[in-house]
Amino acid sequence: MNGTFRQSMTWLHTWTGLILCWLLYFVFVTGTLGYFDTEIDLWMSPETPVQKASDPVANIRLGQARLAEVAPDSERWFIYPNQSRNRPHMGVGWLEKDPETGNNVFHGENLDSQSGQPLPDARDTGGGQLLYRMHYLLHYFPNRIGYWLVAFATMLMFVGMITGIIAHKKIFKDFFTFRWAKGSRSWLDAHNLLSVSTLPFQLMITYSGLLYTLGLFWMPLVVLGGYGFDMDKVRGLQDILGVEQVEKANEAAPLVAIEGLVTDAADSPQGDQINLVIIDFPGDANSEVSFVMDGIGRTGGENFAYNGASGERLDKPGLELPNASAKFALSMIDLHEGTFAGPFLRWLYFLAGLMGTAMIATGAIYYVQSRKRKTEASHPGFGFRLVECMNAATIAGLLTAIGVFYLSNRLLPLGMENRAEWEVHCMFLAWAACFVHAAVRQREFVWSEQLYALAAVYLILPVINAMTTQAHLGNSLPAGDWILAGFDLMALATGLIALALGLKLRPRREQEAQVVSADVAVQ
Amino acid sequence: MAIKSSKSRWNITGRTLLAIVPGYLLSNSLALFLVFALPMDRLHGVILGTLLTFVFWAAIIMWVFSIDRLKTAALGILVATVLSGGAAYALYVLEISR
Repeated sequence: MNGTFRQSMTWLHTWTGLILCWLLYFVFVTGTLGYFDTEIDLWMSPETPVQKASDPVANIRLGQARLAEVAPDSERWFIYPNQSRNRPHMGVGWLEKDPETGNNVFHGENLDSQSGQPLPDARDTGGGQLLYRMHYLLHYFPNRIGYWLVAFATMLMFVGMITGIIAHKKIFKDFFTFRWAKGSRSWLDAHNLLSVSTLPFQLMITYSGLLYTLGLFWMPLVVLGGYGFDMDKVRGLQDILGVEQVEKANEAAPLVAIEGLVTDAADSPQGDQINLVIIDFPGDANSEVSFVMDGIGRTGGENFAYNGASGERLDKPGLELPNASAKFALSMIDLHEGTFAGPFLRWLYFLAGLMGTAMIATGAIYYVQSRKRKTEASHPGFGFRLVECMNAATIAGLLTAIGVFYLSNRLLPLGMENRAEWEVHCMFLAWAACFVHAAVRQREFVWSEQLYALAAVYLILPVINAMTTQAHLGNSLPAGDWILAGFDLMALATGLIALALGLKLRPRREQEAQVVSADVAVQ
Repeated sequence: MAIKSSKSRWNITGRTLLAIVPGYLLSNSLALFLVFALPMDRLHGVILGTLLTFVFWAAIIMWVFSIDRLKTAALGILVATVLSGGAAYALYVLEISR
């Protein structure tokens, strides 16, 4: 590896990094928040009652009764008997034929584990799920376009990381170097420290993101070509990878009481470990009840299958992945999602995501800082000004916009039409305002004022929450509800950090004086 | 240095296009070659190939931007695509004739 190779990799790192860094920042922020999607959901629908842990076997009975009532003719039922972090309420789901298209559409509802009746409708909100979905679909775009944009940005991120490793000459030595308050040097050191210390996570999240977004959409050539472009064979793959289909007998037979199939024997499904119960063709002689057990992501978990009319155990192997590469791919995707993570690991995921976010932000800021002295002497060009504006309006502005998203959840009238969509409109309107501010405001004031706005939004959020709901700190702290309290406390912390940074970055007196005198001179 | 000495706008545009479109095709044809060359069942092969395509593509992008002359890079991509694609096709023909 010679010097010129490293130099061209440094060049490539700069440009692959810069060109879509604001989109990547958006993906990282919304994706990182996605690790707390359920918690944000709970905060954003404060009317939904918190449910105590309940007996999963009794929940199966409640679910079966509810489904017999609302979806007797459905082809497939789902019962989620266990309450967990990912699913705070027990629930049911069913497939229903769309009369227009004839396609099966999934319907689901959460149930009260006491009465077995659906939980009261909460306010219309996108919740944490919407933020999470934005990290791969964006918003206001057709899904396909969103996917492609994110996929392309992810590929640039992947190249950016590999070239970054090559560009970085003294990885080990620099890891222990931090030059504080030394202008662009400090930004570079921060960028290096964040990148190197979380490198395995960032590589994993980027590569698995590629598998997610690109695997099927962008790389069909390998699969098609591997089967000689024989479409029948490619379609046949679904049979290998998919679950075996159940044949309907078209002969009515009552469904057994599913709870009776659950026992505590070691070779049968145990109540507290059942993730999901699937019932194919309920009420048919060939109906089938399968239990999907709790496991680590897609690669774990065991299945048990029973005939739904007789209750007889069927000898069916669970979903076996065909080979090591498929296992590797699904393990990567499981690692990306982290649905298996308990509280400690979840916070670690969140922290690693934040550090990735900060890696992107410090890189973008370093680009401006390292060119500042050169451009300050001459007049800053359009490209430089653009990067400078985008940086402030994205790095601080996006967080402000997400704060406004939360605020609008509390402030928009509850009966409003398209309320959930308006929450998103509020978010993007606030973001647009940040861009306008960064573009028209005098350069010296942009960063500090953006940070003040950020601080104001997050500091006011717990106050507005207390004024509009019962889910505020005054109730959540004494009740020990760490999900609701945690949200408000994180908002306060975000606000305080932003305020401190804003005060630190405000133009100093002499600078201000210079600015004013320059203005006078211009006039 | 590769880029600086020929930092024309057209040169960079050319390298970018070369890395994205032919580079993408090359990464796929390399993977396809492996699918036919490696001794594993077809399903395993295509999944492994898909997993490797991203690594190949990233390496190709980096290679395109590290070569001194744009022409050399273009020629290299062309030759590698023809070779790997041709070899993959030859193996495929051999396989179905067997």
